Amino acid sequence: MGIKNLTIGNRMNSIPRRRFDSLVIGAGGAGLRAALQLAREDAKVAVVSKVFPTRSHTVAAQGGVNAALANVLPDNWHWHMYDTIKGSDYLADQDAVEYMCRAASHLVYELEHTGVPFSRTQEGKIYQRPFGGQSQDFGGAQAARTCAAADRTGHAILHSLYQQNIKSQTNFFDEYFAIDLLKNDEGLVLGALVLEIETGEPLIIESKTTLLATGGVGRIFRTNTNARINTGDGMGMALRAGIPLQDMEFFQFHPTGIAGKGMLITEGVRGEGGYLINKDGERFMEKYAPNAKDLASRDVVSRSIYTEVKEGRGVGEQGNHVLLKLDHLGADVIKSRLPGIRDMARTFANVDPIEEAIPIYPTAHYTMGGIPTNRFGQVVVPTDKAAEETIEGLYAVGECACVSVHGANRLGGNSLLDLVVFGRAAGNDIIKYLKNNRNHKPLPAQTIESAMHRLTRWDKKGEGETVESLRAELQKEMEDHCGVFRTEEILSEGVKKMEAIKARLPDVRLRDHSRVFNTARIEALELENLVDVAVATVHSAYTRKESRGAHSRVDYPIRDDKNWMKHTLFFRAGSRIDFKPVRLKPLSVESFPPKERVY
Amino acid sequence: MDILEQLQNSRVKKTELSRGELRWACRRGMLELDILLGDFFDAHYDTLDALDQKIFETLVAMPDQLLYEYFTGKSSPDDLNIARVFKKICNAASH
Ligand SMILES: Cc1cc2nc3c(=O)[nH]c(=O)nc-3n(C[C@H](O)[C@H](O)[C@H](O)COP(=O)(O)OP(=O)(O)OC[C@H]3O[C@@H](n4cnc5c(N)ncnc54)[C@H](O)[C@@H]3O)c2cc1C
Repeated sequence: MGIKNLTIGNRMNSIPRRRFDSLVIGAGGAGLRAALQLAREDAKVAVVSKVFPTRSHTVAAQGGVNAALANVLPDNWHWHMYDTIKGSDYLADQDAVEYMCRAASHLVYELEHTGVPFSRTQEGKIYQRPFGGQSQDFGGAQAARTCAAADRTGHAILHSLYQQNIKSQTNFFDEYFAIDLLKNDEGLVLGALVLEIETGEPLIIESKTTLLATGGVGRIFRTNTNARINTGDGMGMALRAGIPLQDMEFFQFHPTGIAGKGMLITEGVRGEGGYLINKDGERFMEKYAPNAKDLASRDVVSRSIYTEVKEGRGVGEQGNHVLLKLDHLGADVIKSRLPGIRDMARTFANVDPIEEAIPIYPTAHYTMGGIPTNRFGQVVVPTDKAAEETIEGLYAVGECACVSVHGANRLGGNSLLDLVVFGRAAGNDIIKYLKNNRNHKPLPAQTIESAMHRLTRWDKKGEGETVESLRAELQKEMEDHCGVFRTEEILSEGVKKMEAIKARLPDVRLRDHSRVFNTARIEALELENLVDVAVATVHSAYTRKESRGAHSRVDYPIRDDKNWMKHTLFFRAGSRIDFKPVRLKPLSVESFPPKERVY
Repeated sequence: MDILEQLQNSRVKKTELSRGELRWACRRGMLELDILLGDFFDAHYDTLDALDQKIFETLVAMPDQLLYEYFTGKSSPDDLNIARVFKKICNAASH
């Protein structure tokens, strides 16, 4: 259809429309858990996903999901709460953390009952593994809190949730790409404009509530562990709708990713005796951490790698990585204890670690920040009257949201928990909302037009930069200027670079203007989101002048609770920064006051 | 071997897939598979003969977890053709 040739009025009317009680954008663990809650209550739900639901990134979570079941070692939810708050470097909202840790056991049992094949202890209980940052008795001995379905927990949860949604008659829009939120003049969110990838045609989905569950944004960094779909689309949509992003400076990095590719080489390799070397073969961690050496904490190892590369001791033609040496362990140890790592290195780095060292660079892993919500999944923004007011009809859950249970640093196994706990909570709140809001509200043409503009803008022909080149530049600049090594100078340079990249976006052109399955057009739309979220991230990192959790500033190495015990909010208009207080008061127990975080 | 069953359950079961559709189907939930399938598609799909193109389509229709198990050697495809093309994909990634 020649959408472009119609007059504006006709064009808006000619776009097909569907109406639902509730729209869920994203079919990972968060979106599917929320949709299930709604569908079970007979709400008419649409789930939109740019990829087939079971190809969502949740499938990659192999470790497991946390809950204090005490199946392997003594445990209780209050210890889990303490660990989560300490792990967050005291930036998490303590009401949300209490809510999550209390709900955890119930939700994991629910997953068990709906068919997630958890591994078993000898007594037949759900198997739990110990993960970093888990303790008994408020900082005592190691706890074992992570419930695992072999090494496929995320896959099992995603498939089970998908099957149950099918059974509950959730309406799936598979391979539809959400472009922008639709709002009325009072700021109420009334649905979204989406694109059917197969036909290239737009569709308006009108809904009484809209929930964003679009996952994280690892793709703003060149080296990252995330699937290629993790482009922060929901965060971009929120920013364009005038909603700020919270705590975007907190991005979890892992020191040892395969250089240029991003996938993780686990700490276990260094635990077995592997160590890092620079181009001169020097075991450089001895300089930076004489005692712990290669087993120093993640941020220390990451920064040391960065420093080696920056100071010209990097390996390779461009000197842009270091090496992880294992060959001294001998073929037998590598084959018997690290077979997966050997496969990974052989395939993605083209080296056999029995003979050669693996090229390594720090890799971006998890987005702690996101769309600000309360513990009901409602999106909240500051107004003249209050630090947090809800945006009626709009919800966010999962890695795209910031509720905030992870604060400045997420603990392993808490993300899958976040998805199911707050997915259910948002579903419940939406049901309440729907009871009081039975009718669809009129959708102004203006909001449709501006959303459509995002799409038609890519019909412009002519010379210009390519999506691929601008994206590659963005990822490289973010890695260099907003990665693991952060100073005033580097970050202020990063802010300038990202604003300049943003300014070049209007000059990017597509070569392929076809409609049917035009994946280049989707990648262009994703690039716009990457740019908006990268700008938010670098501005937030530049603003926070302290080190806390994953945000570590070489020039401000100490956590500064007096000045910085607050959440950052970044607004797209004018790249404005605001702050809001951390919720230090839990729901029923005593607050955990900030302490130095030592393990 | 339940590949046929998986194909039936899968979204990508039409006989003819457009190029764009196939390219999009290489967007996976795991980075490793994105690189294996996506980069292979961009660099080598056009050079495959008709049979191997068909097998590639079959592979792309499989669940992420199964493909990941093939990759890590936890299980291997019963079908020899599938095993052969999968090996080709892994080899291509390492060059
Ligand atoms: C390698 C790896 C291992 C991990 N292991 C663990 C672990 O063991 N335990 C743990 O707790 N956490 C783990 N995590 C983190 C965890 O997997 C993620 O945080 C979590 O799965 C995110 O789920 P989600 O539902 O928020 O989003 P996702 O699962 O990423 O789903 C996002 C959904 O949004 C859709 N979408 C996005 N944009 C659009 C758009 N524009 N239009 C339409 N649809 C869109 C996608 O199609 C997808 O369906 C791991 C992460 C990685 C990278």
